Amino acid sequence: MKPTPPSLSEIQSGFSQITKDPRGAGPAVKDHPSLEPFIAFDERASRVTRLSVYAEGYFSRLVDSLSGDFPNLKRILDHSYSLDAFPKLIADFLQECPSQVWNIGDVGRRLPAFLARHEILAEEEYLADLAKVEWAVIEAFYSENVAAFDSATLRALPPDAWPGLIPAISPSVRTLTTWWNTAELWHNPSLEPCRLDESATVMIWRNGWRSDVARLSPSESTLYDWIRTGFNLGSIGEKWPDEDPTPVMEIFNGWMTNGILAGIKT
Amino acid sequence: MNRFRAPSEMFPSLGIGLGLRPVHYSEILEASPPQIDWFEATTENYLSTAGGKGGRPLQVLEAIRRDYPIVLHGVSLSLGSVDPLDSAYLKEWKALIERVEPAWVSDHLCWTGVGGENLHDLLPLPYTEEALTHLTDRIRRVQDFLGRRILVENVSSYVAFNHSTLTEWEFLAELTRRADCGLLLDVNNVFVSSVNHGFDPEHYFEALPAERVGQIHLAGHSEQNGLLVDTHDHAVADPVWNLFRSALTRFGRVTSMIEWDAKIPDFAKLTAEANRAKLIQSEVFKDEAHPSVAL
Repeated sequence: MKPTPPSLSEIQSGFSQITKDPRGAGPAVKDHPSLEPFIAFDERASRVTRLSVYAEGYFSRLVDSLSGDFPNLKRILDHSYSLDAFPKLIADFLQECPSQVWNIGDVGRRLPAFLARHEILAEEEYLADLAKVEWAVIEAFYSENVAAFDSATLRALPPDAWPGLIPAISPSVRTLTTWWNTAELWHNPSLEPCRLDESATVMIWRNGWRSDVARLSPSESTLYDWIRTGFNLGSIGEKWPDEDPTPVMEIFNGWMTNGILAGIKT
Repeated sequence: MNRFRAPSEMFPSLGIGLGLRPVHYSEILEASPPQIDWFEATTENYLSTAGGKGGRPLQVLEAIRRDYPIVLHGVSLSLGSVDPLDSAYLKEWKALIERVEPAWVSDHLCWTGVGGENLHDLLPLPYTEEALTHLTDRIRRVQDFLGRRILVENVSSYVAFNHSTLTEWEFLAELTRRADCGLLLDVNNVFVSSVNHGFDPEHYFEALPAERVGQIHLAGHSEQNGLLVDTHDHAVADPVWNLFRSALTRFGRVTSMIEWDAKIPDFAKLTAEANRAKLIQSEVFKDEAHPSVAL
């Protein structure tokens, strides 16, 4: 008896499972005997060859995309483990976290958390921290766009208005706490990973066309926390432990120039 | 019959364009204006990527839009999927359309995932009455929601289904008629599929309703295990240029563009590809002044 053709729903369910199967299309198609007879083939290519274009394309497309999103993570895995360590990680990741997003550029959002619980790589804590930084770099790039901070506006204000001014942090700024030399690894993935004596704050932000990453000094970290909490310049001046305001002004100037501060609230 | 029948007024000719890719943003904005008529932007690149609100890329798109016509081309509408249409996607897409005012919008005649998942590929459909009815309904609903006609693109395929009751070209002709939508004719996809499934691409063109063809795509392909694959990582192949010439003869001076998505070359090389398309267009329509080209 001639088999009944599969419905659109049955085709899509079976085709999707074959495409995502990490064993490849050959073994996977055998699990779908009701679909197999309806896939055409000819002397040019067998059913498995044809299905493999989709199955191999699925993994290679996502590995390529995530390689672009996590270039330093990939470089470290290639160097410290093997050239197939990154593709294997992505295959594991896609099995647990298949894409549910419109944009292939969003697939990596869950990779840092997955890495932190990966059965082998979770032991290397710096890898998950580096992946968090790499994802934050992407978030910074796509964050809300605001006009560059105009320091001339600040200089034009009368001195007696300054204590009441509240600096505003750019929407692109992200921070994370790490026990590793994560910022330095982001800049140079060939460095040895190194555990710090105390935790550090890493800042990620967008400056014009590119995102940047830096480990904050204790003073910068304190100042960032105060600004984020909503301190005005007067309160910062009172709480700052040194008599000399030069260091804090240097940090302010740097943050204005680099796009970390987005403006002032009066 | 007029061999140079003008395409529908719904899709006026924008000339020869390029796919807008982030690696060329600064060159397009900061260099002297390139000789490109228009750009096609990938819709999803300007939606809420990475939880953001478009950030720098949307700012760039708006800057480019001030100087060039823009068309939005999506890859994740998943018109053929049995999943419900994604209302959040449609809302964001509509908001983007209102913001950048593209000449038109398009997506693919395929499904990209099922069960809430996205395989990020343009997956094949059987050419059956069930698929035709399903797609017609969804395209009409999308057009009603957007308040505008969309174009749907033929995809390249490596798998065909034995229970299809229509050919691909019959399916496209009937779908565009029933759904009252436009057709984005990817000439490279026609060539790739014609080799993979053994049909005559000229016959494919002859069967399509010329008045529905609003845009043409050109791209490069690769060969893998005896099949041609639509990889967008090479220059347009000579047989595809020949088919482009046939397509212009059949469909008129249709808005056309070059897609290049992997191993993306510098902007000068892309511009040279666009100039080759311009030269062919000039030859087909016997324009008095051929454009200056750098092949």
